Amino acid sequence: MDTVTYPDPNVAQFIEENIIPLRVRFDDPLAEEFGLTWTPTLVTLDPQGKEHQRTVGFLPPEELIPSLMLGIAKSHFECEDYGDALSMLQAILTSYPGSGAAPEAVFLQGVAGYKRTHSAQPLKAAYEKLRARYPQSEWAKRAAPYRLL
Amino acid sequence: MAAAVETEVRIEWETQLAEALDKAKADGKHVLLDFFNPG
Repeated sequence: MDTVTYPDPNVAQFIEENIIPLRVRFDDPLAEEFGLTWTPTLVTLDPQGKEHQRTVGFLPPEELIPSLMLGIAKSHFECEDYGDALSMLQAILTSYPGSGAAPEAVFLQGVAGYKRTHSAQPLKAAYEKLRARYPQSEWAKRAAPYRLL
Repeated sequence: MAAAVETEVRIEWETQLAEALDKAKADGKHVLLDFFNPG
């Protein structure tokens, strides 16, 4: 991460503009509190300190940014702030459609859309989008039941 | 003509959770917590 990802200008700019970066050694007491098992482990916290996403292992620049965006979107989603969640999810799909975060972003678009509207249409749309764009992803499988709605 | 000067953005890491959360609350942002092994 120190050699490739964090020196990347796009990564540094994204972090500067969107998130507070905190670095803690693997042997810090905080690591035990968070149940750390391996490094690098990246955790997205909301301002109250609640965890919303965790990744383990190296991420290149083009994957780290959408991964952080997904963590922020999940935080909005879990706080029932569906408008901000949907905006962030769409930003992932617009700017990083080929990233590993993209299929999960589509899935969450469907769920957040359903939560906001209580209509099955966003779930069906998510399934169709996953089937068309990310058919091999695990999220396409998880969304499969929505084709029956 | 003066040459354009590129300003490099470098990540300025916090090292204490409480301070990072205070900044997050003040700025309305989230926190990226990176557990690392300095090797």
